[in-house]
Amino acid sequence: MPRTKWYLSTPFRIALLAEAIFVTAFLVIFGLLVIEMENEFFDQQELALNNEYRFLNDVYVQGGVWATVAAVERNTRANVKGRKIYLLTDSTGQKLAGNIDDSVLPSQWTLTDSLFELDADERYHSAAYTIGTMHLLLGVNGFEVSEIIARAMVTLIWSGLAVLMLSILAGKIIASRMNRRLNHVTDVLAHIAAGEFSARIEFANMSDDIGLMASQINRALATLETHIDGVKQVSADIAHDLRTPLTRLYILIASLEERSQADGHGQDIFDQITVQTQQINAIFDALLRITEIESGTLKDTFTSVPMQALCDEIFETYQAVCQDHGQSLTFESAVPINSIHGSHALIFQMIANLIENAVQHCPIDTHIRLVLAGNQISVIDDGPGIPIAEYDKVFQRLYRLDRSRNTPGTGLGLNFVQAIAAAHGAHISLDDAAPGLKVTITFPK
Amino acid sequence: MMHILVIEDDQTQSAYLKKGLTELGHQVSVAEDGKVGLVWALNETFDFFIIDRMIPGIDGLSLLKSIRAAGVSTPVIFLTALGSVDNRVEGLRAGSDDYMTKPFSMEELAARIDALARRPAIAAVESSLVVGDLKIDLLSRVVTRAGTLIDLQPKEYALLEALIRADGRVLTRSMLLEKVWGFQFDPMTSVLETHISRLRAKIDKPFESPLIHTVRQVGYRLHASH
Repeated sequence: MPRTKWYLSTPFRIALLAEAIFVTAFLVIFGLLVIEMENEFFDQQELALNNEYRFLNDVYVQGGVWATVAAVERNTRANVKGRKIYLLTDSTGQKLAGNIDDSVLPSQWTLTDSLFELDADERYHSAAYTIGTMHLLLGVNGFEVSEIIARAMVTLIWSGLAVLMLSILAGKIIASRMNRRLNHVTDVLAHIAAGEFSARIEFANMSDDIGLMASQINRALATLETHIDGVKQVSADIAHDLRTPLTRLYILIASLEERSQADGHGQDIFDQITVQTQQINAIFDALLRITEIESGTLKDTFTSVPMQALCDEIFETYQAVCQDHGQSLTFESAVPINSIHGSHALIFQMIANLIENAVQHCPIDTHIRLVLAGNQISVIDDGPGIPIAEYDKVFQRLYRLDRSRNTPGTGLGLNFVQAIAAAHGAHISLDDAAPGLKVTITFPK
Repeated sequence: MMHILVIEDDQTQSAYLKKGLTELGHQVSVAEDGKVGLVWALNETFDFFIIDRMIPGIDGLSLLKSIRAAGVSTPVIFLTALGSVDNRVEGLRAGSDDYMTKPFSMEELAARIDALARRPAIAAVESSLVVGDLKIDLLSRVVTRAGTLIDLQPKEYALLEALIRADGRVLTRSMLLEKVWGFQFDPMTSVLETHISRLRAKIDKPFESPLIHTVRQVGYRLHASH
C-alpha cells in the first residue's frame, strides 16, 4: 500500500507554507520597528548632546575660558560610567580638558553628527562644536542602541525558530491525523480495486469537508456494489437458465441418437450436432469464466507461484504437442525470475493459451519460443503474425481474424489471457517479431 | 451394484440419470425436492448420492452440510449448473467428493462414480505399483517393464501413475487433465492425446501386449491383457 510520508502530506505542506508567510511578515514588521527605534534613539542622543553644548556655551559666555574648562572637567568626572566622551581643545588643537586624548582624534576631527569610533568595540555618537575659539567634541556611547537592536534581533531569531518548531510540530500532528483518514480512504479504494466491493469508508458520518467527500464516495460504492451484485446474479441466473435447456438438449440428442442407431442412418449428422452443441457450451463456459476472473473474487486463492517451475511444466507439456504439429518449441530463461503472487492454474492457462494460439494459427515448421526474463514472459513465433492494425481488435470479445474463421476455437482465447493478466496486475503487449508475433506479459515487480 | 440416490428436480435430467445408471446395473431412487431428499438420505441406506445444487425445498449445499453433520459419509457428486471456481470450492468444502458442471455426459458421470465408489481405503505406505510386468517404484520413480528400465518425462510418469492407481477403471479426458495437469479448462490442442501417445511409445510399443487401452469417446484405462 503506498503511504504518504507525513512531511510530504498536504496538511503538513499547508502548515509549513502558512508558517513561512507568518515568519516573513513578522520579520518585515519587526525590521521596520527596529529601524524606527534606532532613528528615535539617535534623535534623543543628538538632543542631549546639543543641550550639553548649549549649557557649556552659556558657561563660556558668562565665565570665559577657564570657567568652561572647569565645567567640562566637572562634567567629565560626573560621567562615572564612561558613557560620554569629552574633549575641549584650544584653537591650535591643544587639549584643555576631557577624558580622551587629542591624539586619538582623526585629523579632520571637526566632522559633525557622526559616529566616532574610539576603537572597534566602542562607538560613540559624537558631535563637534565651537565655543569661542575653542573646539569641543562631545560623544555619547552608541553601544547601547546597537546592543538593544542586537538583542532584539537575537530574540527575533530565537522566537522565529521557536515558532518554526511549533508549527512543524502542529503541522505534523494535523498531518498525521489527516493522513490517518486519507490512508483509510486509500485502503478502502485499494480493496475496491481488488474486487472487494463491500469495503466502505468508516468516518463518513463526520460533517467536515473530508467526511462529506467520504460519504459521497460511500454512496458511489454502494451504487457500484448493487450493480456488480446484479451482474453476478444475472450471470448465475443465466448459467442456470441456459444450462438446464442445454443439458436437456444433450440428453435429447443422446436419446435420439440411440433410437436411430437401430437403422444406422444419420450418425454423421448426430456427430455434427454434438460438435455444435459442445461449441455453444464451450463459448458459454468461457464467457462465464472470463466474467468470474474479471470479478476479482479469485484473488483470495492467490499464492506465491514459482515461475521457473511453472514454465518448465508448460514447456514439458507443450514441447511434445508442438512436435506432433510439426512445429518446435524452445524455452529460454535468461534471468532467474522471482515468484509471482497469483494463481498457478490461471497463469498456467494464460501461457498455455498463448502457446496453443501459436500452434493453431501457425503453419508447419514454425518455431515457437517461450522466454522468461525478469518479470516478463514472452511467447514468440515466426509464423504469419497479425497485421498491426488488428492488434487492438484481437482483444475484443469473440473477435477472430478472417483467416482463422475455420480453425477451431471460441475466439475467446486472448480474452482469457487479458482477463488473467488484469487479475494479476500484469500488462500485455503485442509486437511484430518480423516475421511472426511476439506476445509479452509483464508482471508487476 | 449400488443403490444411488439422485436429488434432482428437472424430470428430463432425472429420467436420463435413472435410465443411464440403471443400464450400468445400479438401483436408482429419485427425490425431486430437497426436503424429501434429506429425509431419505438420513433414514435409508444408500451407496452414493448425486445432488443438484439448485433444488426446491432445501438447496443442495445446505442439504449436503446437514447430511455430513449427521455423520453420513456416503460419497457425493454435485451435479450443477453453477460452475464457477467459487461454486466448486464451496461444494468441495461442504463435503462433496466430486463436482460436475452441466451439461454432463453419462460416460463422464459413470467414470467419476466408479472412481469414487470403489476408491480403496487410503493404503498405508505403498512403495511400488505393479500391473502385469510393469512396475513403478513410487519413491525412486523408477519404471520398469519386463525388467527393462523405461525413462519417462515427469508428466508421462504422472499420467502413468494416475492410470495405474485407477486400478483398471476408465479415466476420462477431463479427469486426466485435472489429475495430471490441474487443468480447469479444455485445451484447444491435443495435450492429453500427445502425452498418451508418447507414453505408449515407451511402455507399450517395444513390448508384446499393450497396457494402455483407449475407451472410445470417453478416455483411457490401463490393465494387463487377459
